[in-house]
Order: sequence, then structure tokens, then C-alpha cells
Amino acid sequence: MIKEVILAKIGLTMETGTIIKWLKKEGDYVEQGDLMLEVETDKVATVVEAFHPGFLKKIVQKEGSEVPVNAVIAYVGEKDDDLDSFLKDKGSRDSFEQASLSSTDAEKGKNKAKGTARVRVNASPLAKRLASELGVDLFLLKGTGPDSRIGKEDVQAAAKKLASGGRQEYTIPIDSNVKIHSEIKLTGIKKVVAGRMKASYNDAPHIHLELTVEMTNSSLLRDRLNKKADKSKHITYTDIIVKTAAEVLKENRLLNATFKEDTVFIFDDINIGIAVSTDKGLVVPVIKNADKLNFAEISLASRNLIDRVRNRKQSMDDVSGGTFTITNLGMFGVESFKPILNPGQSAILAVGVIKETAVAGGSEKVVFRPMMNLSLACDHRVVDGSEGAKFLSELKGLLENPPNGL
Amino acid sequence: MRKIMYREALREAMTEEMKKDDNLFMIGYDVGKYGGEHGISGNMFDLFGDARVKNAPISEQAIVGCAIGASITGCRSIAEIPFGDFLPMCMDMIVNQAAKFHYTFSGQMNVPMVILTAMGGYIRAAEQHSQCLEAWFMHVPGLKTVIPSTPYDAKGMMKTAINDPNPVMFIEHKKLLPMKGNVPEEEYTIPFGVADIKKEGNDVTLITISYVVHLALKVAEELEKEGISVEVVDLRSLYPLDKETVLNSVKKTGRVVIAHEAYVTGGVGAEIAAIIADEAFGYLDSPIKRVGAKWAPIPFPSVLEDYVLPGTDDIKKAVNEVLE
Amino acid sequence: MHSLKEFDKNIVLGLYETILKIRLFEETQSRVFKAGEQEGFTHLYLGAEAVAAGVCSNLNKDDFITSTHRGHGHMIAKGGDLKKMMAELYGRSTGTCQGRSGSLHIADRSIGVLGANGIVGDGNPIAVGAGYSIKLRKTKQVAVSFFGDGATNQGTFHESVNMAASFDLPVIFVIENNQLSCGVPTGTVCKVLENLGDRAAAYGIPGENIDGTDVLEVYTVTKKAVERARSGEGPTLINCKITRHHGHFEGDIDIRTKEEVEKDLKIDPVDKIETRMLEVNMITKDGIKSYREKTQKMIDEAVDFARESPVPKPEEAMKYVYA
Repeated sequence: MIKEVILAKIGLTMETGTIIKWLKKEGDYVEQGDLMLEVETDKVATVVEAFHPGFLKKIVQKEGSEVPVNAVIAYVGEKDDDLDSFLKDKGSRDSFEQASLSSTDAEKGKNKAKGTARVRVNASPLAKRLASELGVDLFLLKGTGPDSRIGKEDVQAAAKKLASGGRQEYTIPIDSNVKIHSEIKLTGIKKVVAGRMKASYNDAPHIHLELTVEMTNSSLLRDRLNKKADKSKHITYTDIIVKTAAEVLKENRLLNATFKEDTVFIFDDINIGIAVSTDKGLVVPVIKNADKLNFAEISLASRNLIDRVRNRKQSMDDVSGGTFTITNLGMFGVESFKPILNPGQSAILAVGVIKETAVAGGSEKVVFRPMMNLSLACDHRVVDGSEGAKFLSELKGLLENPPNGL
Repeated sequence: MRKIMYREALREAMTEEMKKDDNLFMIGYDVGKYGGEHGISGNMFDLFGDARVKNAPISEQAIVGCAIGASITGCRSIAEIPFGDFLPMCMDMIVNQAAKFHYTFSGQMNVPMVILTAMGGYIRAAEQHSQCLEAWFMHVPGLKTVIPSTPYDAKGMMKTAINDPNPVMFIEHKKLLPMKGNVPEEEYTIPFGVADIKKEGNDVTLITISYVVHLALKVAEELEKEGISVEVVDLRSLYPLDKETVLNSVKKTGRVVIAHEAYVTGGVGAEIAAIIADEAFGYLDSPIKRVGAKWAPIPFPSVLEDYVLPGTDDIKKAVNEVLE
Repeated sequence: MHSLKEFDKNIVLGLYETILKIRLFEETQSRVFKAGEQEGFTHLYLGAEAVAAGVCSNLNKDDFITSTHRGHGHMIAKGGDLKKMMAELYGRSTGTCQGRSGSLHIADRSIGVLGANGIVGDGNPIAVGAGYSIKLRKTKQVAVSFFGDGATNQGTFHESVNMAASFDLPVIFVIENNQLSCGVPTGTVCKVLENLGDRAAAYGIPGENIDGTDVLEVYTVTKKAVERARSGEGPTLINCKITRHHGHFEGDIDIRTKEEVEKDLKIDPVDKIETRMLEVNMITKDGIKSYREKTQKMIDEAVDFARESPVPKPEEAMKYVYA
């Protein structure tokens, strides 16, 4: 008798597994317990044992396929068992070969659709029917018909997105019980930033790491550098942090990278963007090749950029090409904050105010030192915890003990 | 293929059938030597004589009653009531008598009778000579109601009507009577309950009858140039109704407009729309729109009549609405 | 009034049998209806028996008649099967119309009864059509239309008589004139009620005004009209004066006063014929008794048959909508 071989769940959170290698081929006889195939999940790579003994009649999912939990990946049976009639009886169609993400989503979608069917949604009958067939959640769609009615095309577009691994997005409605004072329609930069923020927040899984830095020595460094320089050419704390971060990035390239379609691209240059707030919105001018500039050069570049941005005279070149971003709200007294990645970058550093803080001073003494919070956000697809921690700790080290002659 | 007028097609059908059956006769005022108020009977008087192409007094009830009485006692009949507007004068005979004989008397008697009538406006004939009342007859069990839009359809369906053992309302349109169309020389029939897709399309289903079929085709042609593919479905037969063709078309396009000359309120379009909403609900991508006359009697002068009656602009507007 | 002796005894007895059959059938029907054994409405022919009997005895099986809401009498006179008729009144599937028409639309095509009509006067155009068919097919049949005085004010009457006259159709128009249009004394809505037969002149055909309770008078006048029709000379209008014995329908509140009803009841075609037959010794009292018992027995059997007959199945309501 024909038996189905399914991809059983390994671990609590497994939803899919990738078939790395079949260790048996069609026609082989497998005993119960034989090693049958290698599978990789989100957490682990493992070998799957055969549960049913028998001849491996057909391999349904080939090497390299990503398969949902409980999907049929092969059939075993007696030598003279007829697979075709078994399949006919089972009523499966040839598309079992296509068992993929979308079918699981369809199951989820069907249940979701059933649940939301009781809530009134403005969709044509055809759209409703298609939505339940294709596993699209109508409640998450905004329609393009009259009165925002959802039509066939809206559903088909959403289904296409789902099939290519996309996700439906949620539009939160405005509470009709709350009065609106005024409206500001986002245009230009603000609109773009809003879009990019949302995309970044959704797209990259953020991890946040924090520590505090004692800025005593950096402060001394700053005073020393500014004594020599002109008042108008003063070096700021941000300049120091930019230069220092650029140094540390040289040895921590994953934080100077980007992620696209399963690949990490490590940038060649280190171009640090500094977030500037203008009345037109947030702008991030970029200091190119920050690792190759000294303090004075960084300070000059920074001042010029900010000047141009504040006068709305920045060029395209000024605001593009960034590989890492630093954002500082210390001048407002903000102690710490968790930033959102600049889309296309794998890390961003948020700087807080430098504040006299009571810290442990050794032998149970409490002393006051100028402390500053650093908050690092990383794209967890590129940078994992230890890599981020290494960067932060090296940065802290250099800020607390700046080498001379930088 | 030769082209003949709609009225000639009707005459041919009746002539062919009367040649086969001496007990088939036509009755109505002016059908005799005069050739019929719409020129339909034409030369039939010369061919068949007084007894079989009978001039009647202006007595609609007696005309239809005579046709009924003759049809249950060994003859078959065609009663012409030239204007649909006069049918209210003999509604009792049609509805209470003809439609009910076979049923009430449990099959003892059937009424093989055709009532031939012309409905419709656009000819400045004013309030009492322009109405479209097909909805009234679609609503009577025991009657069959047909409404062909071309000479080809008219001839085939008239032959079927004459040979149908039931009373048949055969509705022409005054503007269709002089219209020419392809009609084969050989005899042929068209069964009732079969709609005709006059033009295939993919974007919108446009269901229509009688003269408006031709307005619909014009609109479809114009919209084709704008990239909108309209499928024009000519119902041809109201009872029996070809639900299958209608529903298949709706399932294909998902968008429906129903257009007829009669009033939207209580018109046959309401029945079709309800059927579609019931049996093709999950295929509708937009609400069903109906086009018909505005709610006023049909006035005389062209400026007013054309306002009340539906035109190509109304049909086009509805098509664009369902495509939103 | 004709002397009985002018007639063949068999004809007279035949007419008497028919009158009696109708009388006893309708009286029985009245009893069972009032006892609640039937649904709906029924309109009784009591008082008019001589008209149906006198007219129909001149007709053949293949001659046609159209009838009214008060149609039991016509059907019986034309040769209707009493059992099938009673079953029809009871709404059973063994009825003439399988129980579907009931009292109001009783019909039997096989004996030329083209249906009792619920619309006043609608039998007229249909009888005209039957006449037209006869003429077209060139047979010797005739068509008789029975209708009341009320119907002579309908448009259908005028249209029909005019058409039959114009086309010389073999139709005999028989008015059963009881001077009542349901709840309206017809005389208040018609200026020529007494001699409605005179209306024929307006259409150019012969018209008669006769005593509709004298069966031999009815017989004689109809015979002439039938011969006229069969010979292709065209229609005749016969106004038969009668009285209505019961209300418009059984259970109706009669518009007449008690005295008027009693007066009308005294004008009785059954009494008249029995009296005249006794007078000339064409029958004895025992003979009358015997006829009555024999006839009542037939009717009682019909009632039993009806009571025991099956009721139609509900789904049968969907049969016969179309041929």
C-alpha cells in the first residue's frame, strides 16, 4: 500500500524547510529509520529518517525546493503498488508538484477570509469569491473602484504579490469618533521619507543594541582641537563620532553593507550620512569616504553639507551614496532612542545627550562623569548580535580612549 | 444571400405556413386587401382569399376571442392587433381566456394562436401609439412572448410561433418593419428560448431586445475603437427565456448592462437583473445597470420623445459606469 | 304557448328528464355545498332549467356551447357525466378537469362544452370563434353562447353579435334573462331589459323574446335558430325570460325582498312541465315520483363517487401550464 512521506515539523517555529539533498533515489528500498534526506530549516540543518518502510516510488519535491510543513515530499510503497491509481483515488491533481508557500497561505487566507466575512467590506461579489479562492484577505485591501470598492483586479494584484512572496499590508482606519483639527498632506521629501521609513521598518528585521560611553577624553580631545582652530571651524562631538565610527567600520564591514534577495552586498567606500532636520523634513547628507578624512576635513565637509541643506541648496550627490548613518538628538536633551534603519543600509547609530551622570568609580565610590548613550540598530539579516556588539564596544573603546594625532 | 424587409420576412413565414394548412387563418382590421396597417399581410389576401385573411371590425375583444374560439375547435389563428397600445382593450381575452384554457381545463383544449402586434416609439406617434408593454405579457403563465429584432429572427420565430400549440405574443417594432436583413430562401425555424449573441465581447455583457439591439450594436462598435469589448446579447424570446446564454456571458465578463426601450421601472430588465444577481452573484464585479425609458408617457415631438426614450448615449454611459 | 300534443312524446319526456336532472342535481349541490363539503363558490342554475334543456336538445354532440359561471345546467343538458361533474365540484382528480377548475370553469371538450367562464360575457367572443372555425372548415356544426342579461351590457356582447352577424356565422346567442345582474336589478342599468331580444335589430339579425320557463317554447324557437345557422344564414339572438331561484351564489345575500323571492320561486319550469304533462296524461303522479327517485339515485351515486375520489397531488398544480 502506498504511503505518503511528509515533511514533519522540526522544532517549534518551523514553517517551511528546504530540501538540501536526497540520500535515497527512486526505486531504492528504505527501512524504517534509514537516513532519507537532508533538510534545512530557519534554525537548523538536519537529516530526516524514513518512517514508513518500502520502495521509494516517487520523489515529489526535488533538492532545493522550499516546502511547507506537512507537505508530501515523496511516496513509498510495495514494488507492485500502482501510484497512478492511488493518486486518482486521492483526487490529487498534477499541481501537487507545486505545493509551495502559496498553498499554506491559501489555507491561512481561507480561514482569515472566513473570519472577516462577517465584517462588512466593500467588495464586489466576484472579488469576494476570488479572494477566498486565492487566499487574499479582503480586510487588508484598499479597492480602486467607486467608493474604494474592491474589484477583481485588486484581488488579482494582491494574489500576485502573495504568490511572489510578498505580504499584504494593513491600512489602519481613522477612528470616526475623533474630531480632526487639521490636515497636512505629505508631499515632496516628507512623503518620500514616510514611505521609506515604512518600507525600512517592514522590510528589515531590526535589532537594537545600546551602551553608554564616558566622553571625558573625547571632550578633552575636542577642546584641544578647537583651541587650534578658528571659531567658525569648530569640531563638534558629531564630527568626532563620525570619524571614530568610520575607523571602526573598517574592521566591521557587515555594518557597512546592504541586503537584497538573499545576498549581502558589502560596500567598498565608507560614506557616513548625518541626519539633519530641516523645516522640509529629515535630510541625510553624506560625508564621502569618511575613513580617509581627518577631523578637520570631516568637520569642514559636515559644515558645508549642513549649510547647503539648510539653504535647500543640496545636490543629488550630497544626499546619496550613504553606507552608514549617524543620527544625533543630543542637542535636544534626548538621552537615547531607537532609530529606524536608513533603507538600503545595514546599520544606524543613534547618539544621545552628554550628561553628567553618577557612575561607579571604583572601591564603592560614586563619581560624576559625562556619559553619552549610543543606540545601534542593525538589519538582523546581515548583522547578528555579536557583530553589532563588537562594533559598539570598539567604538566605545576609541571614544573613551581616543588615539592621539587623529 | 438575399436581403428582405422584416415585414416581408413575416409575410413569408405566414404565407408558407398557410399554404400547408387550410385551417390556418389571419384576422384583424385592415389585414385584407388593404395589406395590413403595417404592410405585413401584403398580398396574402390575394393568395388566400377573404375567409383566411379576414378583415375584422374594430373590435379587439371579438378579434382575439374569435381567434381563441377557432383555435380550440379545429383551426389555428393569427390575430393582428397592429399597435401594442391597443392590447389593453383585449387583455381580458389574452390573459383570462387564451393563457388559461389549457391549464384550467387540464389539457382538454389548447390554444394554438399567435397575436401579432407592433410596439415601440422613436416615430413621433405620441402617447397612445408608442408604448412597449412586453413586460405585461412576460408576467402571464400560459403565454409565450417573443420579440425578434432582425428579419432573419422574425421569419424563423414566426414559423415557430404558428406551430406552437400555445398562445404566443409576437412583438415587432415599428422601426424594425422596413429594416432589411439576410434571409435564406430555404425554410428554417428558430426555436423559442434561445438568445442570440449578436456581437461577442469580453469586457461587458449588454443584454437587449427589439429595436434597442441595433442601438446597442452601434454603441458596441464605437466602444470597440476605445478598446472596450462589449458582448451584445439579443434575448429574442422573453418567455421562454434563455437563462444559460445570459449567465454564461455574465460569468465571462463580470459586468452587465440591460437595455430596453420600455420603462426601467418594472421592465423586463428588472427580471433579468434579478436572475443574474441570484444565479451569477459570485461573478459580478460591479452592480448591474439598466437602461430604459424615463418615467413619463411617450410625448409627441422629437425633442421630448428622444429625451424620454433611451438612446446610444444612455447605453454608452451605463457601459462606462459598470466599467468603473 | 304550444300544446303538448304537438310534440313527439319522447321529445317531451326527454326534455322533462333533462330539466329534472338539472333541478335535482342543483338542489343536491346546494345541500352538500351548504354542508361545507366543497371549497370556494358555486352558482346554481335553479330556475333556468328549461333554457338549457330546451336549447341543448336541439344540438348534436359535436355542436359547441360556451357557458357561464352558472354553468352546471348547460353541461348536464349537453350530456355531461354526472359523476365526473360532481367530482369536479368537489375538486377531486376524477373530475372533468381533474379537479382544477371546479364549479366556475367546468368543461368537457369531448361533448363540445367549451368551458364555463368566470368573466361575464366572455363566452360570446369564443362562441364567435367556434362559429368562424365551423364556417372555415365547412361543417354543419353550430355554436351556442349562453349568457345572462347582465352580459348584454358588456362590450364583448356587442362586438360578438356584430361580428357574428357581419360574417354570417352559425352562432346562436341565448340570453338567460333573470333580470338580475348579481346585486343590481338589471332594469336600473338597462332601458330595454324586458325585450332584450330586440337588440338583435341593431346588428341586423333576427331576435326573439320568449318565456324561458316554457321548455317547449325554448325548444321550438331554438330549433328554428339552429336550422337557420346550419343552413349558413347566420346568427340569432334569443332572449329567454326566467327567474333566479337562489342568490347569485350560494351563501349570497339576495338583493331582492322576501316577497320578491317568493314570487320568483313560484315561476318554476319543473312545476310547469310536470303540470302540463299531467294535464294531458302524458305522465302519472307515480310516474313523476319514479322519475324523481331514479334521477336522485343517479345524483346520489355521483355524490358518493365524488366523496370517495382522491384529491389531486399538490405538485399537479404545475401541470398543463403549457401544451
